[in-house]
Amino acid sequence: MDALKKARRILKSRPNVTLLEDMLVTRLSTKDGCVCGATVLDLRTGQFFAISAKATVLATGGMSGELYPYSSNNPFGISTDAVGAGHALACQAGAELVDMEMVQFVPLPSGNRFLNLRYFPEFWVGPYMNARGEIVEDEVMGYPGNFYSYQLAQKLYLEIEKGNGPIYIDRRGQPPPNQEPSIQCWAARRKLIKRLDIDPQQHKIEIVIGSHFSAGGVSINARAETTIPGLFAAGEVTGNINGALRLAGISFTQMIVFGIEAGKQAALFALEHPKTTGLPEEQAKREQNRIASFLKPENRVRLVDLRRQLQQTMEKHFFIVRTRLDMIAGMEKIESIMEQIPRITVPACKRFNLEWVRAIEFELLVQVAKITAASALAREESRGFHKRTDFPDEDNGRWLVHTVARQNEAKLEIRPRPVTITRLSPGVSYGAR
Amino acid sequence: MEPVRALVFRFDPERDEKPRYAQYDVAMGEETYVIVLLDRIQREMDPTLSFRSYCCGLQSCGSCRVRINKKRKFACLATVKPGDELVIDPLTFPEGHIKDLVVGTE
Repeated sequence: MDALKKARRILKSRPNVTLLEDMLVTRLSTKDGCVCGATVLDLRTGQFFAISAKATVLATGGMSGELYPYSSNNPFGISTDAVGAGHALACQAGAELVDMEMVQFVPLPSGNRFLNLRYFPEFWVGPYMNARGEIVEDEVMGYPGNFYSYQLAQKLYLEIEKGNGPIYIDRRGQPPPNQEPSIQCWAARRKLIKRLDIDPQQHKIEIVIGSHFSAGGVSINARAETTIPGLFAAGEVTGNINGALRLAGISFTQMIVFGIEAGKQAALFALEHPKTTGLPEEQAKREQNRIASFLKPENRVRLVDLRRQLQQTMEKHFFIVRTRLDMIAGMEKIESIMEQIPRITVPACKRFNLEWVRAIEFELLVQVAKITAASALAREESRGFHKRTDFPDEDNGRWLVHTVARQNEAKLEIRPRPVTITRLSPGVSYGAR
Repeated sequence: MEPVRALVFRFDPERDEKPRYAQYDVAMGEETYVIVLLDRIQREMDPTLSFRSYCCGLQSCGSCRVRINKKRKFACLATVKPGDELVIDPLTFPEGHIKDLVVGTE
């Protein structure tokens, strides 16, 4: 966060940089198969306009926080604004997305006062107990990927499914976990959990399973290029970095290493393509009409209800353990939610209209839900974060592939793409256990 | 359980002649944070309310800062419990004010 503040200060001090804040990108503009700019809603004025761009970088974060009712990246259920917008914008522009079925789930302290405090050793090392007080797991660090392991989250989920929930973290009487390395914000949070009286060393803390990270995303190569010229991406919005698993701390690399690379490559691309192509006016006009149609007074559907329906659908049909018929039923529900979006009611004010922002973003989120669902249905095996009861085993013969999603006219196409294997061999276990 | 009574500063410079306070009685099941209260009001009771809903949850970004009972606070970590009454104002007014609880980022 401090790094972001510093970056913003530096950018603001450069006379040749114009920083536009409180702007919502509603769509990427394309011409001849290249991204050439974006349409934007200025939240402070409610004005709609188009920006032409020689190169565009997506840095819109993940999508799993808004898709599921519980998430580590929505503190208290309140959005961090990472609503999958970049995934949907890229897909609309024709870019490929990969491995969108790979959503990481983790155990989270439950309740309003706990959700934001997950990133903290006392809340993730366990031991995890069931409702009868039996230990479900107390060797979290023994898993490959330790507290980030899909095995842990799936094990806890199955214990709840067996009727032995809720699950608790119970550290009463245990020595405090290793406090090295000493991280400044952890020390501050230790004081906070004592003040709020939610210290797992003192109390049994109930946990829920929630979403944590989108391991798939917009397909990029090592130069942070998407499959569409002029469009680059970095951070959680990107795929091809994690595959079916991820380790703690990787998101930082995704953000910093690929952020720098995306910036460099976008600058080079802009130098090589010095003329902006001019924005296709009919695209911008169509987009402006689409955005304005949310403000029609006859609209009657409440966004809060649709959002709840979407999150419940994702949790019921595309959660940590999946199966075919259930997913097909879920896809029908997503379609029915999609059909209701044009009737979402939004108050007709221009300035900082939060409901308008949320309605525009919700449509993008539902598109992402659809891609996630179709990708999950397509992968007929269990691998890492993607667990199916009807295909319980990893199948390297058929499924050592990426799931590629691409919008072709009105149709969402899902197809496999072989993975590039360099140093590690499939089927060999490299971690502990 | 008693509701939380919130008096929230409302002013859209394009539509209103002068600022006013809107009163919301919100049923909250348990002690929570002011940003959760504002989110509940906006999503379920009054979609015309504007506030900076982004939340880092770490008392770090400062996006959610407002004045609660005249004191500058982070809405993400200021708590509120059933039966409480509170007055919520924008961080500054009229300087930098945009709408309701939203002020500029400068």
